[in-house]
Amino acid sequence: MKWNELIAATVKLIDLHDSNRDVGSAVVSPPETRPGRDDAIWLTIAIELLEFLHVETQETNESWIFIGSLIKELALKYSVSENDILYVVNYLSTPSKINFSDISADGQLTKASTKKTALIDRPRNKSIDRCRFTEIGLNAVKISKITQSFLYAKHDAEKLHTAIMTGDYPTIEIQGRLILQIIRGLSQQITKLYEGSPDDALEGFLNEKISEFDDAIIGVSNAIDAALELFSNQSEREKFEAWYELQETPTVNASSINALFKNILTSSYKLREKVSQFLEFFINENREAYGVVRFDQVALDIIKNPVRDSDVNWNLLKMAPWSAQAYFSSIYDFQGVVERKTQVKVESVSFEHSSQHTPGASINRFIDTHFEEIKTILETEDLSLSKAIEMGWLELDSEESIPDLLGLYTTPAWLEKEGLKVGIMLSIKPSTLLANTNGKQLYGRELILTKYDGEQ
Amino acid sequence: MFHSEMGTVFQFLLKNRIVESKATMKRRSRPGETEVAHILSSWGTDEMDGFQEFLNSQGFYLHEATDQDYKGIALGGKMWMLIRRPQDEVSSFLSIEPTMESIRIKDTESKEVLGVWFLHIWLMYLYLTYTKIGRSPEQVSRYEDTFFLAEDLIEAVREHLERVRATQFEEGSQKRLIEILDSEKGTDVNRRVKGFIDVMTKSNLIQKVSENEYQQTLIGAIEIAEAFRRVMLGTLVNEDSVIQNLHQLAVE
Repeated sequence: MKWNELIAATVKLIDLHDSNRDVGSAVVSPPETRPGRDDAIWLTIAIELLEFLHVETQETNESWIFIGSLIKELALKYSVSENDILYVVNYLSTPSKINFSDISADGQLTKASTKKTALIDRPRNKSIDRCRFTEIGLNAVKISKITQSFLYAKHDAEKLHTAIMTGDYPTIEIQGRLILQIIRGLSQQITKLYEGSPDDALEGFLNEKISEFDDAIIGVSNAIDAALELFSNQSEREKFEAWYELQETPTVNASSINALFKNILTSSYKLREKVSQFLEFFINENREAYGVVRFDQVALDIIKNPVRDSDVNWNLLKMAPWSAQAYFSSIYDFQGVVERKTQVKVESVSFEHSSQHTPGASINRFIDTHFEEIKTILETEDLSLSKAIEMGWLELDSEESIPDLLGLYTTPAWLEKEGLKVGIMLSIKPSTLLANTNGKQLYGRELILTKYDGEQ
Repeated sequence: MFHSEMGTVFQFLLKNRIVESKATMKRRSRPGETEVAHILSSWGTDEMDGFQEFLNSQGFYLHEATDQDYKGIALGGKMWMLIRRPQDEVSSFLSIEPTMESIRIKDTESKEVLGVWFLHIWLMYLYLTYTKIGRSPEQVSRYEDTFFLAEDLIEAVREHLERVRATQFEEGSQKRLIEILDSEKGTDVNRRVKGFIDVMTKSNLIQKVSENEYQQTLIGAIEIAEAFRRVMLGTLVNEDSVIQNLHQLAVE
């Protein structure tokens, strides 16, 4: 994180703190512009001053840092007076009160506030050329130096080891999830690169710092391995159990810690694999990416220049919702027809009892009538249901005989007399209309009676 | 054992198209999904390769993604998706007839009428989820930005019809298309769009995120990305019209 990121990350919270909106007032959009100068000169000078203090604090062991020469330097650099610089110093060193709400141990909302907001401190004698960081100022510098880069994930992983050593178990979960988040974020960014979303910073990182990246990922794996090993150590495990017993509502347990470590290991491995695949792909493939397509214009263009129906169907079959449809003809395909028949003529329900394999009176009459003809036809060719319908077998003596005909085609064994052996075949043609008679329609795949010899 | 597992997975995928190893905030597990996810997780490379071959021969492949690839997948979770392979022939058992039927508002409407309407509503859906938000068809990850209301799609279709009416077209085959689109009356568009949204939701290509609000799904985005280059370009989309957007990603 840098100073500008730190400021951007907190500014809305400060705005809300400073909002004097009354409870219950109308909802209005907050302003999108901020008060202040466009050149942000006071902020720029403040950051330069803080950076100077940071360097000096690191390099010396003085209690106060002399800023007399810096004031002159900054005044010259920014074409302002020394008083202008002192205005900034004064601003940074003057505390202001911030109000918070806290949740007490018994769940009550309590008011709290702090005035510890000054970033720098000046001597009590008001010396204008000396200052130092306050505790809050040092925190601000620390936060501004934190980096979310994956290159530092190794150090984050090493903190897990320390957390186990010191018995700070809740930190393990927080720290571990942070590492996973960094890995996941980087991995998702790489996915977006694959998809053609430009990201110069990431491309540069992958191209120029790949060896550092490799070191970092190996570092993460090693640190997690070490943490896992430490956590499985007998004495550490006992220490953890003792801690666990003392917790009223523990936020972690041994198995969740182990699972977290393993998850980080797996994720690191996958990230490494993904990065190497990406680099290979990126270097070897001359890839083109399409930008935004005007689909509203496409819709007009296809009217101006109509596309072939086959192209439209092709597109829709490839991209529109589809469903799987398959035809499996069975006896139940005809059940509706049969049931309608049974309502009219009770004596012709023999088909309903076909499972008994005993033809009823109606079917016997049907078979007796047509047996010789069927036998003759089967001597030379197969007999399809369509052909039987064409020959008028849906009726017998001016009475409807659909169930009898269908019964014959579903139980061909009824024809097996006088040495005739008959089988049934189902055509591979999809379902078609077989007959349309008396307002009743027969749909289904073609059924074919065929004669065979011997065992089948 | 492998073949029975393969059957279990295949029939689940044919019905649902997606298997997730963990439920997400937006969706609970479907019946049988845990078992199917368990089977897929247990398969080694050989089994997975065998299953992919089985799917490839039917014009599909299984796309696997994790939470490291896209947002919207449960933390530590995996998602497997049955995707059509645009380069292959469409399987004989696939049908878009129920899809076309979803936008039917009159019994007498022909397949041609339904096809024209579906195509134009579908292009307006692509306009909302890609063009309007400045998204390329290849940017799968941005599926998370594709919120739209049913009213937005109705409005987009209506505006498209207005543009069609305002444009001077020549006679010929264009006339027939304009006649079909111009015949809408009253709430026809609303009813067709409702049918479109229903069938897209049932097919998991979009998902309902709140009352009347929808979002493209990951599988919907992947299919568009896969098929755009191989299917749409040169048939529906004129390549010249997108050539100006083209940029090279390769590092020389």
